[in-house]
Amino acid sequence: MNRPDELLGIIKGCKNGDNDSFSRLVDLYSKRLYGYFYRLSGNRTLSDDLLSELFVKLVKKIGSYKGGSFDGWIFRIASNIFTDHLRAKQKQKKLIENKVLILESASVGLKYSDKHSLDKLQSQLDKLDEKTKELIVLRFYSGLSFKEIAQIKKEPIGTTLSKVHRGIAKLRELMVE
Amino acid sequence: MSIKNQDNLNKLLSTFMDSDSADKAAEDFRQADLIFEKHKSAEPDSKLLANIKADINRELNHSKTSIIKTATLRFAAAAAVFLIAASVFFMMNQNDTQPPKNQAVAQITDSASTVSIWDSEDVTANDAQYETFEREIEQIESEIVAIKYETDSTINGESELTEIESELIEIQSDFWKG
Repeated sequence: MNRPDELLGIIKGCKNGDNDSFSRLVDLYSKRLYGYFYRLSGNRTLSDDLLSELFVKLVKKIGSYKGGSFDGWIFRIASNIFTDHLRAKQKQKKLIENKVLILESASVGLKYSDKHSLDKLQSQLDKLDEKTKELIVLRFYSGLSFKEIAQIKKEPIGTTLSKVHRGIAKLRELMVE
Repeated sequence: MSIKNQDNLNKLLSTFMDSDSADKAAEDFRQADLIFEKHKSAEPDSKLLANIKADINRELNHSKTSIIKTATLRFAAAAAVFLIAASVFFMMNQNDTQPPKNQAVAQITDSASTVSIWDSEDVTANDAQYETFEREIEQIESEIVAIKYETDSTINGESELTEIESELIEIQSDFWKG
């Protein structure tokens, strides 16, 4: 089956509010999007929530897709959702830091990863800064070109390429340690 | 899961780096891809996917219900505006069948001119006639005021109608803003 044609049919069905088309879209994209969220957060529960949020948002937003790379479009939404989550997390962290009493339970609640179930890649990814980590994960799970990633991040392609290269060079070093 | 990026990586790298650096960078990218291939990410379980599909279904039904509700309320609002406009139009047509205001004024001036005053040299009688004259003037004044008021109220009636229409439009637009 020709994948681009199949995808166009699914998108058209989604725009017409067809439930089956949305189900097929979930089947087609859920693994990669989940991988993206999971590698960024290292937390299964959070990844579950973010993936659900994304697909529910998609029902309202699908009408605004006007063509072009659908992968680029859907991963841009995923990136925005994760950025919003990070902002909310930072806000929550600041609120707690502003309190004199920091409850042990609260600080535990803010920790990101499922420490017991982390694989080596996840542990080393967490040592990179958030922006570099997101670029590397986005590149791998979205399959987007550097040009598309640069467009999503609104920066020159050379900047994106340089950041990702520095990030993966660092990641390679960390993985052999 | 194997995801192929759509870049010609070597060509892209060589536009930003010299040949040796581009080769080394290309190797870094290949190794990184292998690391990701080797360390599989967690995957969404079937229960999560079923829940997501149920959420989507609920969201779609909610959207459809909202569209029907919106259409119904729009129709109701339009019908209300039409009914009010029709009522006002009907009332205004009824008012048109009443005698014109200038005819009423002519009637008053006619009645006033029928009163004969100040045609005697008798002072006592003149005082009584003077009182009658004053009363006649007051009556004419009050009738003119009444006519004026009636005219003003028609003008106000029109402005009140405009206000009602404006309020309806405002309510309608506020409603759709949600």
